[in-house]
Amino acid sequence: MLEVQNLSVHIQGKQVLRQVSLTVPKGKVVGIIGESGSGKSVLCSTILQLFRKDRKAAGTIKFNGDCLLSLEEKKMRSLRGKEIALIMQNPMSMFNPLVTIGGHFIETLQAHTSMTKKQAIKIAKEQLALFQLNDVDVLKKYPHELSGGMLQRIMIAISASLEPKLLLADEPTTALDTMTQLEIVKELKKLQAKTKMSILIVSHDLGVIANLAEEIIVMRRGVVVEYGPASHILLHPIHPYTKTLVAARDEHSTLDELNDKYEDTVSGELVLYDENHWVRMEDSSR
Amino acid sequence: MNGMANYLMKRFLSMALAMIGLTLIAFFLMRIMPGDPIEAYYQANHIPVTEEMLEQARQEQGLDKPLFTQYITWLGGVMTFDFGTSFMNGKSVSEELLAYFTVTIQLALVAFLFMLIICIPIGILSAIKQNSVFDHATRLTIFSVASMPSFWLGFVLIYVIAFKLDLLPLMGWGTPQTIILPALTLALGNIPFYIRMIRTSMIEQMKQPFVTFARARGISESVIIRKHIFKATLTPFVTSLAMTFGILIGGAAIVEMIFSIPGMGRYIVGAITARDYYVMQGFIMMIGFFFIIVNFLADLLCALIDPRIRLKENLS
Ligand SMILES: Nc1ncnc2c1ncn2[C@@H]1O[C@H](COP(=O)(O)OP(=O)(O)O)[C@@H](O)[C@H]1O
Ligand SMILES: [Mg+2]
Repeated sequence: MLEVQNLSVHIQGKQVLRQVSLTVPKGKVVGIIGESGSGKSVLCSTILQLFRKDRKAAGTIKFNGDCLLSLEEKKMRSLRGKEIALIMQNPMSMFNPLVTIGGHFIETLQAHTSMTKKQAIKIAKEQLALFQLNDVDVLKKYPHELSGGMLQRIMIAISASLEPKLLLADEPTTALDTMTQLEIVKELKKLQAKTKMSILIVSHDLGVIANLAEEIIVMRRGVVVEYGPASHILLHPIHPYTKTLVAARDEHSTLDELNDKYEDTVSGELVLYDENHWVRMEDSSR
Repeated sequence: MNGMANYLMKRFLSMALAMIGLTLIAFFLMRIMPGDPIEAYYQANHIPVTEEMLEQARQEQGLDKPLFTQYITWLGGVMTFDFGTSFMNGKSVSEELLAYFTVTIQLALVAFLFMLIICIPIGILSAIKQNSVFDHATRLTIFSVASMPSFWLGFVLIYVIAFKLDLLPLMGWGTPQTIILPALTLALGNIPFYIRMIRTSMIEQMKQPFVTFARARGISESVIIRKHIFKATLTPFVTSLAMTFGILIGGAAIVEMIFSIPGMGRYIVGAITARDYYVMQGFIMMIGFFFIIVNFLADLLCALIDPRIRLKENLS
């Protein structure tokens, strides 16, 4: 489904991603965990080719046979939202404050289909009902009239409305309170179970990743540190950074505190440690 | 839509307050200006005066009564669009003002339209094609236009278009062709500012996360520009435009002189030298009234565009 190989990204001459490789198989949920600034958002937006002009990307991104890095813009646009959908952190700033929720829904549906406004509204209503958002007339509301949790669910609803094959969820729970976070995770789980879509979920909260992902990628400063089945990563982490990460979760400390605990830079080669389990090993430790 | 009704009410009230303030300023500001209209009248007509003649004239004009009584009498007239009669020529101020004002307003309106037609496409284009040849060329042109005073531009336009190329009439008033050059002269001075403004705020809006999200949903660039980016730049644009409309009316006076257009400009300069109270008061009222209405409409338009304005106003 999605296959990223040796992806390196430079922004304004600064290397943000180094040789990142990962695959998201059909119908699977893959999670990326990493502290803020490790390049998770850049990875997501590069997959969607959102800032083509401002970034230099090398390597390959393959999606259903298309090489996204070299795909022409028109074709790429038809994939965005339709085949690959993105939900982002800070739902509060992701909606145009001057456009109603209905407006956002309609433009998305009309960008990829030839449906009329009426048909689009009908689909939007059905979609909102799936996410228990049909009690009030959400479509006529403006973003500032709704809570962050509501907006995040609406964002998921919009993204799901065109039944994409791959959903990129970039920190979908970060700006929300704990209760709402749980709801959103539940919502995503339900959606995945129903549609069998592939999901690449990104978070700096291991709890969220552990809850959803079957495979986990640990990233740090643009580098993949460890990559393997969720059970391996969570129960038998190999790399010291992953170990600190998992330990931090057990101690309920946040990832930002982790920054102080773990200062070593990650280096070395990514080697196969176990079946499907890759770890970056320092040359000296081999 | 309840928010809108509420917002309208509040705006309406503040507009009424502004109107009352305007009448006070129009009336009392004139009275504290140095100079006496009656004396000025006789001086202008080279009639030697005595104290008795002045007294009598003051009584005739009601200028001997207490100021407040004068204000109330005048206000009563204003309500029925009667600004009194001119000291200078004895004609009805409202009729004369209206005749001149219509000319000035026409000029200002056409200039306003020119401004929009020129600024919006060029501003948008130079934002979209940031740092392109077009953008640089625009910047250079804008810079040179902005550094020239508008009367100078007027002379250049007259010289090139009317005199050398003989495309449009040199001066005068009455036919549609005569309005083009003066309106263009009047508009040009404001064009650099608005092109910059549209360009800057469009570029600023392009960086907004909601634009990225719109792209991520596969919305086409043209829809993003129209529906998301341009719309978001509209409210500050409309607010400034309302201000500029007042400035255009003021600037019209100079342009009217250059092109010998029978507008407000010359009429009001005459009235000021003559201390013609009723004409000046009427003038301030008319301009002020117009300004208040235009700003009210602009506020309304902004509230229609941006729902947050309606909400904010209702909270406070
Ligand atoms: N537009 C940009 N310009 C310059 N640097 C950027 C830009 N976007 C991201 N970066 C850099 O890329 C790195 C990764 O950012 P990001 O992907 O947002 O991290 P994460 O999502 O993991 O928190 C950061 O060090 C950041 O400074
Ligand atoms: Mg991020």
